[in-house]
Amino acid sequence: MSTERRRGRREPEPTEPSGQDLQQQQAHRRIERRALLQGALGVGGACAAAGWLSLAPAHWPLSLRDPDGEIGKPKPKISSLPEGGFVVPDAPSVADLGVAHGSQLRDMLRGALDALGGIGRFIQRGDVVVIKPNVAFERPAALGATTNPEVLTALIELVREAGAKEIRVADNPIESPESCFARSGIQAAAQAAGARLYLPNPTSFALLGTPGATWIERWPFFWAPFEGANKVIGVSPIKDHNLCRASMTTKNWYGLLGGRRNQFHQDIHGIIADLALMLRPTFVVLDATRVLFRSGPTGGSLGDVKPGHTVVVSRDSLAADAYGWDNLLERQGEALPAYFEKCAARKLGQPDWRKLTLREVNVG
Amino acid sequence: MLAPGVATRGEADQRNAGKSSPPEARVFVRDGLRSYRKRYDVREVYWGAGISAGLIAVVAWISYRGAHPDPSLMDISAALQAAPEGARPLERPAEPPSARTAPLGGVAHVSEPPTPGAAAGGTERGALPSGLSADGFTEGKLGAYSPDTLYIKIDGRAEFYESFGVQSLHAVTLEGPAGASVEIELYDLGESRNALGCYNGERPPGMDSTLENGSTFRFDRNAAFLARGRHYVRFVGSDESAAVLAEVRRLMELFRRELVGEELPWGFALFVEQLKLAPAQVGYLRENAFSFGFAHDVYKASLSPADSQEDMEAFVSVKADAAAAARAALQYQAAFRSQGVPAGQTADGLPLSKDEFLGSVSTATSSERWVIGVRGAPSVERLSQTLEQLRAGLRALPPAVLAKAVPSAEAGEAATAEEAAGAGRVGAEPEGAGRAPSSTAKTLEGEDQ
Repeated sequence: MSTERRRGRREPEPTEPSGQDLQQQQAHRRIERRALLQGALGVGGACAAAGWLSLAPAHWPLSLRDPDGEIGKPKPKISSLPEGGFVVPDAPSVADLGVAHGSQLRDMLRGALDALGGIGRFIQRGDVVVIKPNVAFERPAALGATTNPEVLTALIELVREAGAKEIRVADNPIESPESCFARSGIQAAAQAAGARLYLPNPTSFALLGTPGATWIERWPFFWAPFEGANKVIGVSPIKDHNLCRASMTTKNWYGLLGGRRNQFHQDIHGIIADLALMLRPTFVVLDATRVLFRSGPTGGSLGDVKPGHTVVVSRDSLAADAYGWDNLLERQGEALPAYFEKCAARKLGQPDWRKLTLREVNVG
Repeated sequence: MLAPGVATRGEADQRNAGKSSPPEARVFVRDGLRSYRKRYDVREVYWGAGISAGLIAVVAWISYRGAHPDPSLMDISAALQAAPEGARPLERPAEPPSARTAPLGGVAHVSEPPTPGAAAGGTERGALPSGLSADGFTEGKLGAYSPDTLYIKIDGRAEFYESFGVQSLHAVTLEGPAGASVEIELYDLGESRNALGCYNGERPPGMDSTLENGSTFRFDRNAAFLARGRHYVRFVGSDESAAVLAEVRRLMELFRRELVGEELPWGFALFVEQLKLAPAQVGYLRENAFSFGFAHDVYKASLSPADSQEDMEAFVSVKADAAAAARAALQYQAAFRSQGVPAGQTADGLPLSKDEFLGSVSTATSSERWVIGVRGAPSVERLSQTLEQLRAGLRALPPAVLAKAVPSAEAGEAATAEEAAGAGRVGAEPEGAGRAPSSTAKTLEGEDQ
């Protein structure tokens, strides 16, 4: 080894280079220089590219920098409801609020809808209609905490008469949806009337984008019933509410939210204003056949419920709610809950129902 | 060991040395150790190809997984629907009468929804008595809820119970014949004053209560309500049928017998036993009394008939010592001023605040470690008279009751019962809190609603 290395290091005998040797030497130098330059350029370029990719600020083109890992996260799909909601065009010479009093629910509902131009104005043949009742609690309907199933039945029948291809009934009670739908009578009513019932499960939610919303700009939404739907109707009871003072048609959309939605109670009026922004319905029905006038929203005693014998229909849920506040909860003179002002500031309704056209009918 | 065709460095040098080529002007390797390999070992090629293929496979796999992420990573709604950390076990709901047996033709998505904390078997009964099933009613679904999960059961109403320091809710439904049912909600509020405060907070105005053997209760059509010890119980019947009402009454008796009772909280003892007010007139506000953020641990009594336009209330709160009570009284006075306008003083020098719209007057003062006050009095005379009755009632409280009169732990004014009892006797008023001499304790009985 050592001999070999010494031999390997031995300098060759100096000889006088010939002309041919010199030419070869020059050619060899050119080749070496070119190779060096090419190599240097290659290595330099690779280093520069690697530096750019790894060190350039995240917003620069081709930058792979991801200091907080956000860029590398999978991007969930953001669903969105139709722009402009599910509203139908304005129609002149019809009322904005249809109010019907009586005891024959189907006739009452038809009368209130006729005041707005009839069910045919809202539902056309082939429509896929989502109806959102309030099924929030496992209570019998008589206790006023949930939508009256008889009102739901009448509504389904009218929508079917108008030619709807499919009618879906959906709500997302937090606790035990099956029990809530069963105990409230909504399940039996919906199925008997031929509607399709949608109960929530974890796969039926999607992340919904609501541009401009304060709290729910992106939030899990009970999406499954809305796939392919082109009309949405809310039918909600009228209730006292421990936090927002009154739960009516606008608050009703809260039942479509998933996730830890109870945290929104910290700004209950703000979230209701977001709900009005999130969902612009075809029309709403304020079910005031019973009025839970205290101990809401859960109630419990029949002493907390009084008969209302009224249904209110409107395209403007804020107006319907304001009418209910004044005339059905009988709180006229008291200031409206703050969410009315917040919704009005976003031009999502008219809280002064007296400025609108109201048509009132007595049926049966 | 070298592969065939691979020259050693020495052999390469020997070959180079034997040639008559000019010396190489090498740039990096000048010492002649550089070896030139004319051929490559085929196994090296295989290894290289294998490693390259492996690397390409890794890159391809990463690219594919990046383009097709695990759906569970995307399932935000499922994650958000999960129980919050610390959620206590809940029941797994029993099959409702018709949910599972209903024809599925009309049901699109029937599956077990997330019920955070669901636990099998109903082992978590809390203070629920055993043997609830009787007379054709059988015990059905049972649920236990912590303050963190209360909203699952009573979303929108949970905050009311939280304001009284609810510690747990146990709920069970008794299924009866023909779809009848009675739901029992048993709230553990930690202390009897919270239970009574909750009970009275849900009592409709004008509705009487019965106080009997440590239980305060009432019946209201299909429902009944009970405060006993640290518990508040709601019995909600599905209707007013005879069977349901009988079941509600049976359950009321059972719970009155089985739940542990306690003596009345000192504030109730003051208003009910000393000042002879009806139990239904007395309430307890654990926090945010009269919408004053600083006002907590306050007993109040409504002194106006339910059907009147008046809304007069007397209130009392206990503090750790006289200095704390004097400070609190000043806070109340300032708070009343902020809601009205100054309206002079009482005969004994207490500042009055007048409601601009109702014309009623309010004030507060301290007496030893007590803060006492009147809110919404229709006249200064009624206010002064009521304050004097409060002072007299406090003086007449038995030592055993005084010993129990300590600030709530939540108020951060912990004082031992012994200290409280020692300072509890009503004596001289604090400086500036003028007090008229009083002899006997007049009762407020005549103003019962």
